[in-house]
Amino acid sequence: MNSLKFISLALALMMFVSCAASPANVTDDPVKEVRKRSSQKAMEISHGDVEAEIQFGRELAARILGKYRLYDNDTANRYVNVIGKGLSTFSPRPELEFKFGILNTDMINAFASPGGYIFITKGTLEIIENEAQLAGVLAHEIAHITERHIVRELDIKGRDDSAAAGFAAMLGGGTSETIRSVFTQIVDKASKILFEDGLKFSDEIDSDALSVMMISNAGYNPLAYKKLLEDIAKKKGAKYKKNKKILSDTHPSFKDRIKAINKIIAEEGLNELDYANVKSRYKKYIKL
Amino acid sequence: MSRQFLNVSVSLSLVLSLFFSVNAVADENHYKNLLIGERPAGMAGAYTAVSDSPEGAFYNPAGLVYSVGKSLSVSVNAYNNSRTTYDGVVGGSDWTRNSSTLVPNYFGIVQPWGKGKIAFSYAVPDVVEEDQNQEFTNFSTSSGSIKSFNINLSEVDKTYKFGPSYAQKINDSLSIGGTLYIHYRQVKRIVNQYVYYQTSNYEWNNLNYKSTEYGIEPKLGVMWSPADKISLGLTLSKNTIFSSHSREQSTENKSATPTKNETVVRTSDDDRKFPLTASLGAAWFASESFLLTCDFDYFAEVSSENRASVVNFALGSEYYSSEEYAWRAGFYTNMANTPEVDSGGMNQQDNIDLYGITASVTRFTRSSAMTFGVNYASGSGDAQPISNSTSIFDASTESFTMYVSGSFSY
Repeated sequence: MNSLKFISLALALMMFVSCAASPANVTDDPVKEVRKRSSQKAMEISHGDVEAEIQFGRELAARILGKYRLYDNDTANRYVNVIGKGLSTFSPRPELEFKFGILNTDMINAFASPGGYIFITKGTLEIIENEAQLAGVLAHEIAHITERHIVRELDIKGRDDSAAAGFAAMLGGGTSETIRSVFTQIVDKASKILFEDGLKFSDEIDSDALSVMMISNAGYNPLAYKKLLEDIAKKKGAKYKKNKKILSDTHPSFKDRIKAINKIIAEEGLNELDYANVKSRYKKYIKL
Repeated sequence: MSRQFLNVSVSLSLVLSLFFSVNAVADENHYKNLLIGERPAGMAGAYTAVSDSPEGAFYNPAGLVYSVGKSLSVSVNAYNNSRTTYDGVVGGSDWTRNSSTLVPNYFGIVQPWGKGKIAFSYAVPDVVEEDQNQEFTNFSTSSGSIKSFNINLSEVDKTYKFGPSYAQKINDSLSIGGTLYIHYRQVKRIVNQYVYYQTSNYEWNNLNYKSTEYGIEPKLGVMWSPADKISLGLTLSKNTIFSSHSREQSTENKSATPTKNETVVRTSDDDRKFPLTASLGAAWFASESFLLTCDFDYFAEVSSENRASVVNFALGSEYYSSEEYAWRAGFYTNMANTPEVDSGGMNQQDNIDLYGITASVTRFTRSSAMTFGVNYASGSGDAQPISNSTSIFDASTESFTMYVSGSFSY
């Protein structure tokens, strides 16, 4: 076969592959996402995936509790659990059992660990004025879990026991020992996301939007969550600067978040709703 | 004793100029013999600007930082068949050299480590295994009429590279990385040539050649994304041999007067010289379903080895028809690094430029992938297969590689 034939054949192959890629497949991925391939999309969630998510979330929750102790106040913890579990009935993940806790720190933040483990800090509860705002924070964290933000970021999934996977694993050199050896590394990485790097901008904005929708579905004032973010943004002084640091480092700016919330409120017509804030009950159970 | 001499000659002292100069089939005369890796091999090796998988250790270690999330290992097993045919060499008959081998040609694993990624890889970028017998009968040469000429050839020539890699991001669009490969090559060659004349005289030559060499090949890579969906990669490398040893034992036997029965042993510790290599690649990540990439590989001239400078080109594409299937295709050149074969010269190396096409398909499961691929390369040029002869013959090479690979993420 001469060179000309080769080049012709090669160009024909390239043309075939190029034509097969329809414009509909072109996305506007940001630079960091550009390299992701179709094969790296999350496939259908299996029972094994949920088990892996819960096991992983339990490990990560233990890391969080290793960093901050639980706040020793049964009344407050029970109240937060009741509100949180009530909200979780509006989530699309009935297979998860959500658990809520208060962390004994003045830091202003809340954390979500895969599998249903959610923590809110005492510092945040001190700023919150009513039950609707508390619901907004918890709903934001529930959204991180239901949307599997950390799970997708770290590609956590159960074992694939199919024959094809077994053969490929054998060729590729994967073993159960190697699986175990990297588990700890992934928990380390998740801790870094929670305490240092934060989730993706779009994940936080999406969680805010879902939070607003969730609390309005539950009968709370949908504007309460936005009001809380505005209040935190206004907090000045050395004390608040220190206590807001992790929140600021790991989340988009309050300006961007409030702007996105205003958009969802306008789009969904939530401004017109006259729903409850439930201030008195919050003050009754949250005595810090 | 120069290593070049050991490499070229088989039986320079024989009267008859029929004996073939038996050199490596294609390894030393080209730089891109076995395409490496699961994804890259399907894309003609155009991977310098992609490299976001364990194969990045070989192509551009800077790309390792973009390997997805967690640990990933890949292993490739390839079957290669290559054939070089010299037209009308013996009494109008062609002489064909054939190499077939099944080799695990890549294993790589990458993991997060500190602020970057660490990898370890093993590659076999070049392998030749010949085991053949060929007989030519009843033809004439300037030395007389020949009843039969037999050539038996057995050769194993493998090059291994293995070592660690590390890559780290400088910022969101720039990363650097390095690989430190240990180079090891082993050659074993036995050639037996027997000429039986119509006059009942005969000539016989037997060659036993062994060679080992050790070297070190650092690879330094840079990956830059100047715009969304665009990536540029640059890899510089140079292989330096620090230890080598060759031994050739040649026995010649001639029945006609003056008779000859002589065994000569020659050794050499001269180290081969390799060129500085620069690979520049560009990739367009059009979408998560389509990727187009190209590479230019430049190999500098190595005058002490009589190697010319070479520029190779590769163009590759990848298309995901679904989350479970990826299809790849590519085109590449594998130009000869030897000078043009000049008329009047003797014992010159083959000069055959090769052009190749590649294709592969990958089936993904949830945490693994299995790939089947084929590569085919072909080209023609000039050669001087007969020792101490100024005759130049047309020569052509065909190479076919089929591979199965598996990758596993965890």
